[in-house]
Amino acid sequence: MRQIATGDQAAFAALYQALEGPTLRFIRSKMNDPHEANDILHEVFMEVWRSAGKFEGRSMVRTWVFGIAYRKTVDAFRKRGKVETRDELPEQIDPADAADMTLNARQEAVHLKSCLNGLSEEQRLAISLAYFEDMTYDEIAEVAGVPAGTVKSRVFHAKKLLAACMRSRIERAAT
Amino acid sequence: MTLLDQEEIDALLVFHANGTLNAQEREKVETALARDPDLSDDLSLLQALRAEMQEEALPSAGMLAQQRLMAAVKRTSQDVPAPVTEPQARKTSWPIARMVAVLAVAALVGQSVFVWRGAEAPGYELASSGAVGDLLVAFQPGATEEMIRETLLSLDLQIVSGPSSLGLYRLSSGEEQIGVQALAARNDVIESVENASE
Repeated sequence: MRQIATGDQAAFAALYQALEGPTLRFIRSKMNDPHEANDILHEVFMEVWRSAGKFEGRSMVRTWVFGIAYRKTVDAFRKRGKVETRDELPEQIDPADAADMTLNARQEAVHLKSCLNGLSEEQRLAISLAYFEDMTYDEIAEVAGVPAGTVKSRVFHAKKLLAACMRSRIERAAT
Repeated sequence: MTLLDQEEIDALLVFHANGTLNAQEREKVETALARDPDLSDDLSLLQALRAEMQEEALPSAGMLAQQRLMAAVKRTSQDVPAPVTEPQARKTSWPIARMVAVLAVAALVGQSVFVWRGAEAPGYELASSGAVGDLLVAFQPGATEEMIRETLLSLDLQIVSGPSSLGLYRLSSGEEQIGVQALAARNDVIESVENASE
């Protein structure tokens, strides 16, 4: 980051190459439109370039970049006036589709993803950072700009919803 | 165990699955796991979820996106010393999507006069400034902004003016002249195309 702050474009390109994929995946986890996600990615790294001198090294670079990505994504939602809240359980799959199901690994993966999509934005964000990026709850708190206790509360509810959703799907698949 | 303890354990279990707990927290969770089989089931579920997520391939914005970014960075470096302010940055990094969207809106009101210099140096000026285009096209009514953008980028074309009162756009090619046939082949996006000089 120190090199980038001095205007080192090669260092910046290396950072982009290292973090492009994870950052884009993080943005896409909140944003369905891949083109808009690419635009936000561009804005994120432009801010990294402009603000590199402000990075104080109190957190990991990745956490700092994800924090910028989080704010940019939230800004994009605000501009569109879109606020998603999905605290309810996801829709159940069609019983007809489930009739022949036995729970193998592939199907379990499908169930897991479907259940994950049923979480609220903030719950999904916490789980995504925890399992895509293996972040600690303190790091997730820093990215989202909330206290660590809030992250714990979100993952607590997320875990309950996921477990309930999975059990429900498994039971339906078994009948 | 109190309800609060249980909630704490449930929350920590999520991070036990990704191995980021400190020694004290890990011990707390492992003690709870030893006496609660349901908790072990939950852990298995969380581990399966993590394994599934870790298997997903990382997305990429592609080479074009990186080139666009590095070009923007280069521009800020070449700029006269004045630091780039937020409004300036927003202007110079105007996404293509927004530019095309503006052109589309302008088409509706029949008064657009933008001259687009492309993704690497976006900007606009009055069409009356004298810019000329190589091709004259009409986009399919059902073509989305994404389809148009993808087509233009893939052929290195830029909208330099339009739409006219008939809904036609003038396009300019980058380094190479793009033939009418190459563009006409994209008939899901292009409704008609002709050389502007004809």
